[in-house]
Amino acid sequence: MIIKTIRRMFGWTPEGKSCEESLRLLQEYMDGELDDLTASQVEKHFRMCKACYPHLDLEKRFRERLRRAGERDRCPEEVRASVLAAIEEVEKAG
Amino acid sequence: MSTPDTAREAGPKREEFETEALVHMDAVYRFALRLAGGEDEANDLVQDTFLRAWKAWHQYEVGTNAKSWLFTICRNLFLRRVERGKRHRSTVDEQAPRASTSIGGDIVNPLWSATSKNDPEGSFFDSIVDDEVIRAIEELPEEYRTAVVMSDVEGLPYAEIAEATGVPVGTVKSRLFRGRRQLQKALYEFAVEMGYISSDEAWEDA
Repeated sequence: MIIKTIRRMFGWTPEGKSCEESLRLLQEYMDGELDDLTASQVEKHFRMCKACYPHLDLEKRFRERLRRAGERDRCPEEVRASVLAAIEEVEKAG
Repeated sequence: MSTPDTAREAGPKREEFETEALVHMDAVYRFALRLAGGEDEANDLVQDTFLRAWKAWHQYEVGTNAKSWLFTICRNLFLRRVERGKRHRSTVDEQAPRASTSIGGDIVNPLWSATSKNDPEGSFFDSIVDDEVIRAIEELPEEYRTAVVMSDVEGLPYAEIAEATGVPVGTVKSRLFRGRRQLQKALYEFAVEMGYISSDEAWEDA
C-alpha cells in the first residue's frame, strides 16, 4: 500500500499510467481520441486501480444518459416527406 | 423516403444523395432541434439543410463524412438566422479560461467530490427524465451545446467537430470539457432538488 502510494506520487505505477495522468486523459480516452499505446496504458490503469475506476464508471454513466436522451427524437414523417418533395421540385426545375 | 428502385430511376445523383445524405435525416433533425430549441424552427432548418446540401452536392466528396458536412450546413444556417434576429451572442470566453476550468487544471471532477459518498456510481443520472436532460443540454451556450451533441449524441470525432465548427481541435476539446462539466453540475443540482441524491457534499468548482 505504502509502496503503491509512493509510486503514484512519482507518477509511475506498474499498471501503466499514473492516477493523475489517467484522470487527466479520461475525457480523451472515453472519446476514443488517444493513440493505441496510450489508450491501452490508460485502460490498464483504470482496470487495475480501485481508486480511479469509479471515476471512469461515473463518466460512462453520465455519457450513456446523455446519449439515450439525445437519441430519443426522430425526424417527423411530414418533414421527411416535405424534404423529398422539395428536392424533387428542384430536380425537376433542372 | 423513396425505394432504391425509384432512387435509381431518378439518377445517380439522387441515389448517392439517398444513401449518403438522407440516411442522416434523424441525426440532422435532432441536431437542429437542439440548436433551435423548437420543433417548427427545427423542421425549417432540416428542410433548408437538405435543400442546400442537394444544391451543393458536387462539393461533397462521396464516401467521406456526410453527417458532419450536413451538421456544418445546418449550423451555418442556424447561426445566420440568429444573427439576422440579433439573438445570438457568444456566451463563452475562450480567450481567457480560468486556470481551474482548463483541461487538466482540475483533474478530479467536482461531480466526483460531490457524489462519491452518497452515489459514487452516479445512479442518480438514471432517475432524471429525458426532458430534463434535454433541457440542461439546451441551456448550454451554443458553442458547448454543439460540441456536446456532435460528440456525445452523434459520436463524431474531434477532427470532424473541429472542421464542422471551424475551430482548432484544442478548442473542441476545451468546449467538450466545459460543456460536460456544466451539464453535470446542472443535472446534479436538479437531482439534489428532486431528492434523488442527498447533498452532504456541496458542489465545489475547483
